[in-house]
Amino acid sequence: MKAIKQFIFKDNVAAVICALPFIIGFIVFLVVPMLISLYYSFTDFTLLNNPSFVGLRNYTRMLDDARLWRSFKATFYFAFTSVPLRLIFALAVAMLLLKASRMVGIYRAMYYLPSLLGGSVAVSILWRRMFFVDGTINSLLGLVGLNRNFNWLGNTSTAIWTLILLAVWQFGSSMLIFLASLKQIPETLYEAASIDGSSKSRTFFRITLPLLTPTIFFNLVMQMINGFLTFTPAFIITRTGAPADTTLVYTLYMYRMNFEFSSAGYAAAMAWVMLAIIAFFTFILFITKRFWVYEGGYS
Amino acid sequence: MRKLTAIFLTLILALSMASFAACGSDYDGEADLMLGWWGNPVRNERTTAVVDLFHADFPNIYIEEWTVGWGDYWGALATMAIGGDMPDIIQQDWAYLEEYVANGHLLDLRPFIESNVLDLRNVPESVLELGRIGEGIYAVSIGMNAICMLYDKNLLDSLGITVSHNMSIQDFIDISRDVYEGSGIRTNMAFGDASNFMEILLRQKGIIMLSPEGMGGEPADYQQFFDILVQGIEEGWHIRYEDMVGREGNEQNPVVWGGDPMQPHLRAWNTFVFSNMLTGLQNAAEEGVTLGMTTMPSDNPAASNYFRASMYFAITSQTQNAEAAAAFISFWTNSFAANQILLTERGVPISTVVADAIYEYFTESDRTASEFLEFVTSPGNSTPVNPARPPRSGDIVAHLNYLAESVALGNYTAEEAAQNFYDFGNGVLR
Amino acid sequence: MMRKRPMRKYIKPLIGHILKLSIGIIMIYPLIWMVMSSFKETSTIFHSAGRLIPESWDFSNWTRGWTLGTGARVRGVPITFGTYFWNSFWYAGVATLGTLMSSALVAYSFSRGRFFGKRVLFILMLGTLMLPAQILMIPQFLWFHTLGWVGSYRPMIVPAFFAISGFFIYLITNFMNGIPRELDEAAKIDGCSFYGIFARIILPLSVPALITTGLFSFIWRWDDFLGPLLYVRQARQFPASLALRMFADPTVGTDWGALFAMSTLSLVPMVVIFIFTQKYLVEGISTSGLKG
Repeated sequence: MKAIKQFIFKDNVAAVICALPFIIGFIVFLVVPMLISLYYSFTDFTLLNNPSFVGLRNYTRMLDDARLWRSFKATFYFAFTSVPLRLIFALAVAMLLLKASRMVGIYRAMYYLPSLLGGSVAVSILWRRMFFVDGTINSLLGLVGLNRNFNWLGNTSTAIWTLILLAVWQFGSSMLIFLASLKQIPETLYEAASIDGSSKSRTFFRITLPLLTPTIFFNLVMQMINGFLTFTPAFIITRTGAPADTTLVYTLYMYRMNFEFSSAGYAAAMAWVMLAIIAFFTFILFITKRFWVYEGGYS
Repeated sequence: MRKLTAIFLTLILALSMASFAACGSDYDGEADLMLGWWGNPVRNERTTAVVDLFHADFPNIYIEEWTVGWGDYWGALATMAIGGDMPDIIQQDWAYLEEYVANGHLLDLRPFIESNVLDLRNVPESVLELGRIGEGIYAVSIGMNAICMLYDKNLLDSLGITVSHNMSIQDFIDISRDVYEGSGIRTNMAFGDASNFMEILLRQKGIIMLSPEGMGGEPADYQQFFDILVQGIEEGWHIRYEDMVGREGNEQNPVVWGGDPMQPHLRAWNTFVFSNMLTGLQNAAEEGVTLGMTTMPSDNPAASNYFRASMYFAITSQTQNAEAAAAFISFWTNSFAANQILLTERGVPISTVVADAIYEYFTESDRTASEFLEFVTSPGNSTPVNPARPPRSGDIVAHLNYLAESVALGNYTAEEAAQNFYDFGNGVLR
Repeated sequence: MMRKRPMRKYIKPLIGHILKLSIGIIMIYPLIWMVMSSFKETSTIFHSAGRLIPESWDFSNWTRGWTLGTGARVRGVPITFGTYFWNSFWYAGVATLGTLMSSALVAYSFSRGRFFGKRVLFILMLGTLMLPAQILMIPQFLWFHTLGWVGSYRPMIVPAFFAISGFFIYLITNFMNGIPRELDEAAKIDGCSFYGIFARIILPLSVPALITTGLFSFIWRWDDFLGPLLYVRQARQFPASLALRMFADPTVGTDWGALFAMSTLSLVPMVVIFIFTQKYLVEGISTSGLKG
């Protein structure tokens, strides 16, 4: 008994015990489900039946699945426009807010609020209604005398933009991150630049931006991943991926395959393919990192 | 502290598990049932009223209601099935019945029918057979309906156009053109659920679209549908796809709603649905819109018309109170009071006694629906319904809708779309 | 340098303020529109979508939304939004508690512990950051299905007690790394065990990080839609997020006034949290790059 107690209280044993929740959780709730889904991805499984082994068929079927390619297109279009736009917007507004004034707190709250609330079901529902034919946007356009009958959700080129706009609208948290990073840039660097007679834009591109690249990089990676996997807004705003699958983002298609089209095996294979894609993109971003991310100190 | 944390953790875990442990009660004089259905506002209101009536008659049986829209219903039901918390009584559809029976999720109702707990003595044998899968009877039809075309009667009257049953495809195109020229109001033959009209066009030639062996007929057989659509788009009389997206429920179906204020190009004079949907659509219609009902356009009406069970009630194999559930379905089928509320919203009642008795309470749209059903069921006017669609048909129908959208947007020719649809369907089914 | 004229001194900041204020108003306009619409009579909401202030204030949306909810009933009694909000609080609260306890413990181990494989484990933890809930949606669903947990809150709550949120471990670990090690060593000399140091020194000093974690965890769980959508089926178990979605189902017909009222109400807890804990939220985001 005493031996056990001594063992448990040994520092390194104690450390492992403290880490146990994560070790167990990691295995039970991440590794095991992934392995199980790997198994299902090789089966014909409708959720209701007993899965039967079909080898690689789910994976080969993906190659001919035109809808899957449309969903890739929608997903990448969404991620590759919304993420850079959101970061650019966040940075621009952060620069605006850099100048100290009594109102900063209020502005910051106003800009950040959408970010805090934007992930909620309530906001997605609101968004759908705003862009509907007789919704807020068209009413406002009508007030200034413009065409008020445009169906934003029905046009194949604008529908995805309602989702992008919703994502960009939530630039607040990125803005806060930029604000924090901007404040860490030593004043002396700007003073030196000003003595050298450097113009404002030159200072921005030569000093501010390079020093922000680590922050930008981290945000780019994380937001890209989240962008690839956006679900709730698409599920609530367009539901089926209409019009003509232009808003059928990957996760939405995966959900529909699993729960609506009785193809849970295929959906499991889709999850694995997405995982590979994310790993690939992250890898690429890390490879290119050394070409554009400034890793030095602030001196 | 460590101990405390551990104890606390266990406690919370235990609590959280306990509070969500299954809560079932035995059928011991008292029963708790759950009833699940997909619905719309009118249906939900009527169902709720009947549940109250039932409870007044059977005060010891309590019913919990679970309802979502059609789009969410089947996904949710599948997860409930594997999660072991399916409702006791579920509304079933012809498209899913076989799959649920094959996987053992529904109870065979024959014992209840034999003991008359589920009293179907006033139901014609042929209607009873609609719930038969293999040996057993797994579902009871809760109404009969037929595929039909709804049209805006007042509009056609004002344009001097009369509609009669069994119109040909050419008649349909002519009317569409006339309505468009006369009023600017368009036609909808494709958006919503394109499979309704596609199936009718195939049935003209005796082809069954979806079967476990694959797609019926040849790729060319699927082209007529897209040809008509292309013609409609080119000549302007078909409603534009972009004006259809995002429409919500019956309230915004183009046959009853065309924007606010109404704009002709956002409205359609017709829609292809099942006859029981008249109630919901008429209810959603603005004042001045009266919907009429006629057969789907077809050059071989007797072959393409069909009727079927609009939907079923089934008892799930997870129920603890099968008898109480059977009693509920029996009440639903036989109670005059209940059917006075339900009328034909879920189809014409299957009990002949009930159907006759409630006729006097029918509204105009109930009468329209029941007269239409009478027409279709008369000998020589229809042929039997296609066999239940195989599993994964949902995927194929979704693709058909996509193709209809794409053809309307000019991304595919009719011929390409037909070939594409045929190949896609076979890829999924085989 | 040229001396600026006094006028210019005021005009430039003024333009700045106007610009910033207009951006701010555009940003929150949709939210204000929703709040205002919840006080309009349902049938007038979209006729008057262009105007913000209701012509007459109508509070019936709120009572109707609250009492009728999604229309689901148990034993003939409608489930009110009270039930849905309680479910949300319950779920977000318990899951947050679990996240806090487990994450703090694991973070402590990462920060102070020394054991074989710690580095690998830490990298794995960072790796989970790349594994958002959506990608695990189907795999985890199938696994919880195998465990028989589908149809309850267990799939969402139990994992919270096993620290599977890499974000929070990372956040707290970083914070703990900033606590001077001299404090641990002093405690160790006083005879404190590894656990004792956690309980007496590190945990109390980590309170700010724990508050940030708790707030974000609560907000995310409150918002969580995917989890309940997959695992919770019966209306009386719905959290507010799922209830709103069911309420807004177009095929079931939508009472927009009541829906906007309940939507607004579902955002209130988050706004309240924001107002009273702005400091922690902003700090949390700024220091860790957390997305809020």
